[in-house]
Amino acid sequence: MVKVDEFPDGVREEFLNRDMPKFEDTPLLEGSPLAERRIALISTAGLHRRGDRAFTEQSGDFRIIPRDTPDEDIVMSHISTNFDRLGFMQDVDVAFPINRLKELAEEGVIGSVSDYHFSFMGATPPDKMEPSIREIVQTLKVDNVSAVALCPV
Amino acid sequence: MLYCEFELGRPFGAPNEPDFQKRVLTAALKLLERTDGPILDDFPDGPPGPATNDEGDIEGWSCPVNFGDGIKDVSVEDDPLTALTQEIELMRTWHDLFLEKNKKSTMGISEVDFETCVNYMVAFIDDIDTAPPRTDIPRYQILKLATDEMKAYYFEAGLARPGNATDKELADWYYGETTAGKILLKVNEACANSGDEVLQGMSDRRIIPIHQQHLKQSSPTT
Repeated sequence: MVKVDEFPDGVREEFLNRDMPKFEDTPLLEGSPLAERRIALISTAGLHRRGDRAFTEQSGDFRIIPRDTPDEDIVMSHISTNFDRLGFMQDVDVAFPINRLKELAEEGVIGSVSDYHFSFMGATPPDKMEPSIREIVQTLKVDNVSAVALCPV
Repeated sequence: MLYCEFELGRPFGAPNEPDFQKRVLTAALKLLERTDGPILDDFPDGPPGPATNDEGDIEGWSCPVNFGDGIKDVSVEDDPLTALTQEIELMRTWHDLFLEKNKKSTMGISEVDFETCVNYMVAFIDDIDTAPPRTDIPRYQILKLATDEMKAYYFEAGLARPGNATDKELADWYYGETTAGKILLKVNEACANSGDEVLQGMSDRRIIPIHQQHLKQSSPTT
């Protein structure tokens, strides 16, 4: 992640002038211990399975990445040209740490890994993503997921 | 939220560094056990990796193709398709090495073979209404995916070269020195002059990244 004051001129102003959502409070609830939690990843790196639909600009839809999707079948169609892709070309976990999550489950640090994980196209207004998020939440509940790791790119 | 001062595109630090990636992920997940929010914690360490020189670039990488030997003297201005095709062929050994080492490629997202992508981009320069290789998605999208395929091919080939190139080094080479980069500038110009609002939007920074925008001004085609 890059600090806002390190953004290129123009991009910095664009971000600072964005109409961001405002929240009345910031509740944090006490949940079950990490070692008992079932966890899913949600990425905004424009990831999807090879052969799945590529993302389009500012689309609020999402793609499902099943837990056991082989690394070589996870591809990226994020529309931005302005971030490093060399890392992802060599190792999917640098952006989507699914293998690390599985290892944490094997080590007992977390309870288990969700059957399904999700990806969005970043740089999409939150209100466009909201219907998709509500749909994803239903899926997560059915899968007994108790926490998600949000992975911005 | 866990703040990590890593390069954009690498939220878990560095490729092929599983222990470090796991530390970052664990640190983020541990925040779930706290209720004293809002939480904005700093991850204490920078990503692992080779030493850099004073300018922040990793030393030792060089252009992965010797463009001076064994190729026809074809100008991208006179015959862009031949110029680009022979450059791509020169890169193939390096790309094959990348595949051998990594057992995968990020190419293939367009679902169109690479040669067709290349032909379409070159044809698009002269005629933006050239029939796109896919009609089930918008023209701008298949054009963008074609440019992404070519970037992936060149960057993956560049990664196969010893020296641990940075994204900026490879981008400086790709956009600034290769025939592919010259083709992309022409594609970008065609979008900018298309009269099509969506294509014009793409020409802003969807084809040429922000840190290479200066090439637009210096391009002989603009």
